Amino acid sequence: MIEFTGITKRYRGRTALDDVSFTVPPGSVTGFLGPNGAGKTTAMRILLGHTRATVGTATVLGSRYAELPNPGRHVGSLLDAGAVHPGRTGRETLRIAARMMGVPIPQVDTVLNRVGLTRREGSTRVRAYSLGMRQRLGIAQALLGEPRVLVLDEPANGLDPQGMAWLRTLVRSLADDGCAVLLSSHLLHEVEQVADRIVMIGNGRVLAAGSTRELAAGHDLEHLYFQLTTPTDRSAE
Amino acid sequence: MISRTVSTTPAISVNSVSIPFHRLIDVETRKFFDTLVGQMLTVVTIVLAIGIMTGFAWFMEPTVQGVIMISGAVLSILLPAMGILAVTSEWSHGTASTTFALEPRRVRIVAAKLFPPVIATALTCAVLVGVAFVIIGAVAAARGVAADWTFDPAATAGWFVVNVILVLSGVALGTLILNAPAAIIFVVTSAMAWSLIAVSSTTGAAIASWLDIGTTTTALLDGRATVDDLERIAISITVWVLLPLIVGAVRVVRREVR
Repeated sequence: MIEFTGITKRYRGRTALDDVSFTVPPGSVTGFLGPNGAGKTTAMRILLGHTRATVGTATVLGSRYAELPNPGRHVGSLLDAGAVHPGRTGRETLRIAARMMGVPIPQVDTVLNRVGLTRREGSTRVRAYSLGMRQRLGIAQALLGEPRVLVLDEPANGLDPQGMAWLRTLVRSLADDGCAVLLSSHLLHEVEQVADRIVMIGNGRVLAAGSTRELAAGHDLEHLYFQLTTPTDRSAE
Repeated sequence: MISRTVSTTPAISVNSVSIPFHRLIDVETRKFFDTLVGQMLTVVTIVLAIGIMTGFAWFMEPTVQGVIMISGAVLSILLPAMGILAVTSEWSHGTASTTFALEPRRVRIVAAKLFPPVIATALTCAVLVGVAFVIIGAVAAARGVAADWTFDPAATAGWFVVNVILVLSGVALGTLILNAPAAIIFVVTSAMAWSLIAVSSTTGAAIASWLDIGTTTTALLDGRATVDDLERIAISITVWVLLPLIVGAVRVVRREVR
């Protein structure tokens, strides 16, 4: 369960988020849509405590993220697939995370396998990884603590069509197991296929929120998206 | 009929325990030694120190103690650099966000990061003391003279403490500046500045005798420190280790993580 309540974030005169409120219930995939620069990443960074909100609160499982003891065991996150030391192998990267969270080390190979990285790829330094492989590694790290909440920022970036299909199946099955999944993307059709609920933001404001079926009713999601988001929604940048 | 209200949000138990601090130390130590920077810095420091120790034994003063102390010429530069690189690595590689996602209480990470450079320093010192004996034995054998095994435990202990202070000054500065090149340039220029200040005037010498770690800690290297010496050491450590570490920790806790 994720809850954003009245989040506003201002950077020196620029408003990145303006009174954003929405929830991500357990057992669902919530697609977080919006143009580049709309504020999706900022909202997720505030949720994880990387940045402070100017106004408002963001909670996960009922507490602020920073107050969760050993948060990796409750919340799996992937905000930036590049936030990995290039000199470590994929497996070593996960071993460090596993040690920190107190997850048994054999779990590392289990999640590597689950995200489709081979043993050999696991033993390769991350420097040599493609973006798609880095995304898979990031997802592996997010899954390592067997979390009930997943926060994924553009996880489909760099994935090939097989990778995207795999990602859809993965988040679907996690949500079916009761996870609350927040997944940002600008790939409308990808999100439409997997998300139960949609939160659309533009220029820092929530433009629409509801079930995917409702929002896409009559037309499709793309139609609504272009109706709601205008070129000026990127002016925030 | 009894009506029951069912909470719409299921009760969620977040009852796991915090990450124990020893585990954070363990992880940070592994992170220090599993990357090239940590490995190479330790190896390069040891190799360069052995080089200067061997040269000193051969050309100057072939005693165990003399050889141990001369290593300071290398350690006084490389240990602060090691401390700096150990703490700035996360910021230069952008991995701080991953670390803080797993332990959002950032001050615990700052504290855990004090340990690996100190461990590496202790290892380095242990190796160098052993090597000093080997060098003296080898030099004496090569020259066909009797080896001088003069060894001063108090001075060696002082040398070790000074080395720990040096590496921690690097850690503190790195935590404050969070940028390796800038912090290293600061260390090098401040060392040069102090040597100028110390000879510039009597006032300069007096200031250095209280504030320059290089000057205040010479008493430790002699293996005997008076109360006055310890006061000067305490003051200089406060200025160059404690204060930057505290200000740096506040900065790390408050700053936006990218």
